[in-house]
Amino acid sequence: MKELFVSAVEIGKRLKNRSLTCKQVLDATYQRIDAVDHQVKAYVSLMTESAYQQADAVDKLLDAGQELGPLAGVPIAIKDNICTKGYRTTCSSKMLEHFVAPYDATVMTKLHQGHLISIGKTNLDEFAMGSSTENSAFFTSRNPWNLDYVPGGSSGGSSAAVVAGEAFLSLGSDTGGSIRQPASFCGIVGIKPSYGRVSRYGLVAFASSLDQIGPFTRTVEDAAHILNVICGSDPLDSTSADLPPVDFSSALGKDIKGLKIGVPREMMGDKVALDVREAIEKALDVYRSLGATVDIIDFDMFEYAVSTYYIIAPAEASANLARFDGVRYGYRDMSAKNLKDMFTQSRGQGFGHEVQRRILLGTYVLSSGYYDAYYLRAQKVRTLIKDRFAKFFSQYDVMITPTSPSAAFKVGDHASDPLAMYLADIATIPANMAGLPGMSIPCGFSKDGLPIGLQILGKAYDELTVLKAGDAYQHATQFHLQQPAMNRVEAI
Amino acid sequence: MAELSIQDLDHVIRLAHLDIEPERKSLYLKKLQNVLTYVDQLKQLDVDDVRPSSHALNQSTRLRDDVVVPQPDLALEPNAPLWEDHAFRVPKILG
Repeated sequence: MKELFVSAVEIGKRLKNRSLTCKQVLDATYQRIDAVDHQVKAYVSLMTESAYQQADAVDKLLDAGQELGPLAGVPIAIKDNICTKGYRTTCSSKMLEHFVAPYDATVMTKLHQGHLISIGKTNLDEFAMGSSTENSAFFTSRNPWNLDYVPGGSSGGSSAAVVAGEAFLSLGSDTGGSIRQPASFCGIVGIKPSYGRVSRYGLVAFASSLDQIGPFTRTVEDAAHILNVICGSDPLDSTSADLPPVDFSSALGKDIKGLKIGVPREMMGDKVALDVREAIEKALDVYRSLGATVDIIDFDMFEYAVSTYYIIAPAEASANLARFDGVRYGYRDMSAKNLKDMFTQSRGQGFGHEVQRRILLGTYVLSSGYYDAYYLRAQKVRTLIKDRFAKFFSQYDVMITPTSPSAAFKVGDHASDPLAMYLADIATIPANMAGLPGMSIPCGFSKDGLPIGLQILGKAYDELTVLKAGDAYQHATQFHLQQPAMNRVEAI
Repeated sequence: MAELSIQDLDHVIRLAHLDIEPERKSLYLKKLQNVLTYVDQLKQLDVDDVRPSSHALNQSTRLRDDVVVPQPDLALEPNAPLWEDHAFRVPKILG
């Protein structure tokens, strides 16, 4: 099927005018997965049975002329840390390898209500801790632009699936950049909504004050429409924002004349690869040509945000992951002779090394004698970061930075150096600290032919301005239409 | 900052209920020390009069009416490592 690489909105139109059926689109998507996923390794498991049932139901509704949303019948992939009733939800961990979710996450219920077809669960760094999927207990996903490179992480399976034509869109989660960085590495759109926009009910918790679910898409237009489906207040998540519904598609096709853009100087210096800086400079020229103003400003908080993150996120993780004890669900070492050994051996064998390191780090910074020096200080610096953003957004509409200091790196390049891996998230972490919406859109290619991402940050709950800025850029450029070589095979 | 000692690490391993092989401990020690050295840069900032933030946004906690709502079947048995007589079976607690 030649339409495998069009946008979700475009495939939705063809389903609506019945030039294609949901079953045909689903068949083609699963055939594509069969053909390429042994190389890309995006999926941990497939949801074939329920997907065909849903496709059949949506085909019947569309045949009957029922008015459905613009994404009705479109196949979507789900990061494997989002609970899917009756299907495995593994977090790419040995700890949850055989865990079958007893209920749907709220976001899954919303996808059903929007008549999207959930087709499978995608690979991630174990418990979403990592930037490359190399921390998955199962396998490393690959970047469809070059299979020697990582797709980014932690939601790397979700980003790889969308760019390789194995799904039209996907869901990920973002705690420090886990949607935006893989979107950048794979040359697609990824948006982390404001904290509280999307219910976290049924998302396996990593760092509860930072986690947020969001989509990967091929266009900003698709992103606006899927946000319309998944956002909204939820009584099952007390941290979901109690706000009136927003039509995110109202941001599309708008003039951005007069848009005030601030660019932090520290994210345009020698910490950032030259080809990335050049791509961002060119993108800023596009924005100027569209009538926006661009100021280079001093922000001076990015490095501090990384340090703050690597105290707060492990601290919260150490508490959240305490529930995995081998008693009620998940991995248990059956050879343990007493309860305490069962706890420690199950956790010692069930968690991978990066997860264990972060639990230990989090336990340390919360432990007696170190709490004030690390955790309390980090919480105070978090306030400084929030205050700095508040000042910034009193003067500017959006902030633009590179999404990551470099394009994708090779599999294995950072695997032995966690600190180097952590610094790959320097541009994305501050938005999680302050709860802001952030989006990555493709804006060029590195000297090795890998995609480069541009990050747009907005005020809390102001996704509309972020989407408006991203959509205007995509109307003026062609980067989002580029395809990796593996998508140009004649047989498709 | 003080060096993280192997005794510190053992203490944290006990608190975190993790069983970690001895040869892995020295690897963890080095990597954790690197992260702690990096985050030490936060000491450059004067935060004496700054209030701590536990959340990103200043939301009020949402409360719902105190009424019983139907719960989904939690499928306890199929996910349990060991299930017996409607309970999770675990090894002996003492000894």
